[in-house]
Amino acid sequence: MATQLASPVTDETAKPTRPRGGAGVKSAVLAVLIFVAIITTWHVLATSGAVSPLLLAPPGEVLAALGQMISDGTLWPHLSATVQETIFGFALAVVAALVVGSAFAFSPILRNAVYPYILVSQTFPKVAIAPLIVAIFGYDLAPKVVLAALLAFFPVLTNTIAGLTEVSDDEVNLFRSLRASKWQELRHLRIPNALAFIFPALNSAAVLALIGAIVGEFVASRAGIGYAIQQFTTTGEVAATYAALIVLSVFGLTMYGVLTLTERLVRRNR
Amino acid sequence: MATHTLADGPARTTAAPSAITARAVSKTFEGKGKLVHALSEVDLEIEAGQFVSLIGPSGCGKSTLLKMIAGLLNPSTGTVAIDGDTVTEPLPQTGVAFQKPTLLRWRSVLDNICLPLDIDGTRDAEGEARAVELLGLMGLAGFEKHHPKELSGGMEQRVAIARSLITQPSLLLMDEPFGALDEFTREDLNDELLRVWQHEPKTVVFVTHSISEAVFLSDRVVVMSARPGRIHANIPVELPRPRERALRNSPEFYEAIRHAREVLDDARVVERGGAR
Repeated sequence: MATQLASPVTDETAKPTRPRGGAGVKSAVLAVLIFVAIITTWHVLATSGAVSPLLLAPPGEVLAALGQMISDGTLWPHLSATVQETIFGFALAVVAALVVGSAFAFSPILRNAVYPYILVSQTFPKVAIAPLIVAIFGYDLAPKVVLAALLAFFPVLTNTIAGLTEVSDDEVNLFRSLRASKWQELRHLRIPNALAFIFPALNSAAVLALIGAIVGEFVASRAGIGYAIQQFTTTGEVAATYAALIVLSVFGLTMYGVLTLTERLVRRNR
Repeated sequence: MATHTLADGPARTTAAPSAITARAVSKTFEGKGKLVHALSEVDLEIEAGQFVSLIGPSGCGKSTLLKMIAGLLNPSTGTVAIDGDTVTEPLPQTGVAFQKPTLLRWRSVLDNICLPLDIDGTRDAEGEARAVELLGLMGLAGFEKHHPKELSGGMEQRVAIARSLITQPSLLLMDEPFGALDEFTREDLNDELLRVWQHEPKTVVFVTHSISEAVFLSDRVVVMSARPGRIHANIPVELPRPRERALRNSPEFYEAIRHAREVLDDARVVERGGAR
């Protein structure tokens, strides 16, 4: 997260070029081989006794535990709680960051006055105030949403400001020479420019929101994947713990996929 | 890259070229507590339909003068007028090409060329057809759907020039548009620019560092000197038109360059405070 303080992520640097033709097939084959190697190593470590069964369950058992959770329905209330916390927190952070970021972009005075405080609040480890937030907002949805939003806010804010303000003199002069209004400059230059900065930030924000939600659940909760993981570890259900981690990563990947799809749709129409 | 032959067709009926008058124009910038005199008492008359280059050492104020004609800067004292109207803001009949192509990377080539039409709210099928035609004139037929990141520097600048021409300006202002390009690409673009200019007569003011480029393109080369920036000399270029590639190897061309260089050297001697 510290990197976002200095340099906003842009799409030019963030997106690897897609390998083509034969290279693509080779990458795919390699990826499958790596997957097989990981699962095999995992299985061997877990079954040979090299790693204690209290720490690692074999992949087969994890898969069975996952299947069990899905079939008996115990997964859904937990997943639904975590998904809600993350998405509400993420949405809150994005809306707040876009509003505050736009205000800062158009009022340097406001930005210079308020930004130091936001910076201080960011360098502060928010996970440390999780118990306090739970004390303030109670044990249900609210504290997790707040934590998720707090963590997700900053990268979107910095990139919104950067995207709206980092246009070159030449670009501004071009629009002036075309006799563009301020609104047209915003519509055709600053907003499309900002999108290239904001979308990569949304990806980090989604991950950070999920972290916030899980931390909130760890502190105090009655439901959620984080809550479930805590339950499983205290009762020694190792396989179920790993199954919950897999659910989390599937959720993370889904968010990434939805954001990538949204980005493509928005960019096509900007 | 295929060379398009549209330019060989009849000239278009466009707005009559613009005439420019600069009277006693000075520009002073405030920088780090001291005043910088970018331009001092510049008088310049450019007739309608002329191709005029501004050339001179760094700091002679040639880009500053161009920006004033473009309405992007206002003079500290004096006036700049286009067709008798004093310039205080960018005028609609002016097209500008900058040193950097300044293409919007999220727009396709066609959409970049059509940007001025989008801003004017006049984009239609006819405008897009003209964009395609201009793209062909600049030697980039078939590149409509490409994006800037897929183009070379020379190709980007070609698109930028097509964009500056889409509104059929009567005055085209170019601020070192080919300065960042290699010699070969630069010569290609000079040829294409002249072809377009022949096709759509207009007044062109062209800022450059290159003597040969200024001579090849222009009816007149305006030599400026620095500190403070002012006009040192006007050199008429009498080479016949239309000017083709072959002209670059002719003795007349070399002679014109030699003459321009002499005047330019003189301008730099004056700048250093020496006398000849």
